[in-house]
Amino acid sequence: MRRLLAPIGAERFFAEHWQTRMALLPLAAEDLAFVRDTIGPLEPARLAGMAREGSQAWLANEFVAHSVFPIGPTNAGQFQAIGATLYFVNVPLPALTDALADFLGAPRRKVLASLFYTPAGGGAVPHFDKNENFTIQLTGAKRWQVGETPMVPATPDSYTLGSTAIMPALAPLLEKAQRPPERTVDLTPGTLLYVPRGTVHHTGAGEPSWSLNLSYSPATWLNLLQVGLTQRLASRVAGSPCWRGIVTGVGGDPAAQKANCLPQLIAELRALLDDPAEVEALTRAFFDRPDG
Amino acid sequence: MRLLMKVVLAPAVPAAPDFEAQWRALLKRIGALAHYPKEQGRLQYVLLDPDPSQITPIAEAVFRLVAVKPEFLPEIAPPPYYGWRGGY
Repeated sequence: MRRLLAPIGAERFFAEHWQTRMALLPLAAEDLAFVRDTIGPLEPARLAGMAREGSQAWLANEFVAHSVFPIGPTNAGQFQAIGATLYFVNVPLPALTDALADFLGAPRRKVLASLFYTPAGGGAVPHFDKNENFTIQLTGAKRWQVGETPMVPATPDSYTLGSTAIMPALAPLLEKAQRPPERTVDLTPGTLLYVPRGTVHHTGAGEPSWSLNLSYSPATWLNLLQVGLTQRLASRVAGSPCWRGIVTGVGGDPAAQKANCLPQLIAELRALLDDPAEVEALTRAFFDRPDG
Repeated sequence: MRLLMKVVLAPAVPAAPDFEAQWRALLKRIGALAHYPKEQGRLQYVLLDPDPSQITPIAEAVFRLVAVKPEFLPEIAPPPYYGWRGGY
């Protein structure tokens, strides 16, 4: 990944772009060849068979309102033939996803590879994603309009502009948000585009094209603490069994108040967070989770 | 593949005297398996099992009759619940 980021440098990427500003990078020919070889043939039936979270066809034309169809190996090619956009979700490509996760210092399970086939005239309406996205154009060309910076930094959810379906956590952030100026970017085979989460983008393809999307479905520091602490405290042999006890004695009868073990637990938590070895174990507990 | 076609009509369309006959003829022509009109016919759900190559031609036939682009939704059947014995 360091090599892919060589045109701007990994240090500059983290200082100037990570989570704050889009970045466009040309890949070396051998790097594109490695990516293409890792993916293998761009055949809809094959990719539909590989996609762990299913595959979809998106169709919209002069007679069909935007429709989403779940597809599989037997009909993916038919949907390609009728001009649908194909989306293969979570295709296992650990040589790419693990490399990106390890470079970012992120949990491997949170970085997924998906593939898009976009027909001529296809594209996406203005929206932003909740994921950090790295797109590599594999074949054909696609024009992107990308916000220079996120409209909603660290957005908790994805959103299609103009939609009335807004998640409650996003609504207050969206109220204050301004749509930043956009830049036109033409992706040709071998270009890598980084789009931070919360950044508005829309796309159009003048010709059929394939692209690879490596996305980091964010694990927040809050997630790490929640999950790590839950696992550590619930499984601590030496810790107080009170962590698994039920909340009692917060107010209530004076006799019930004796069952309130929150002060004891807070003291235990302070001691845990002050111990670097415990904090390391807490982080490991989060990174080593098989899912979630 | 079984799909639900959703058609949202302007209120005047299903109220037109000849609409019902024309709609039924269209449903027959496109091979509808069932249809579920809601809200006095303003909202039409039609169950279809088309080949993917027939999706746009079906939508075109609907569009030419009612000037509305239909949306297609995957049919979602609930998974079997083996513990259920008809009561709670």
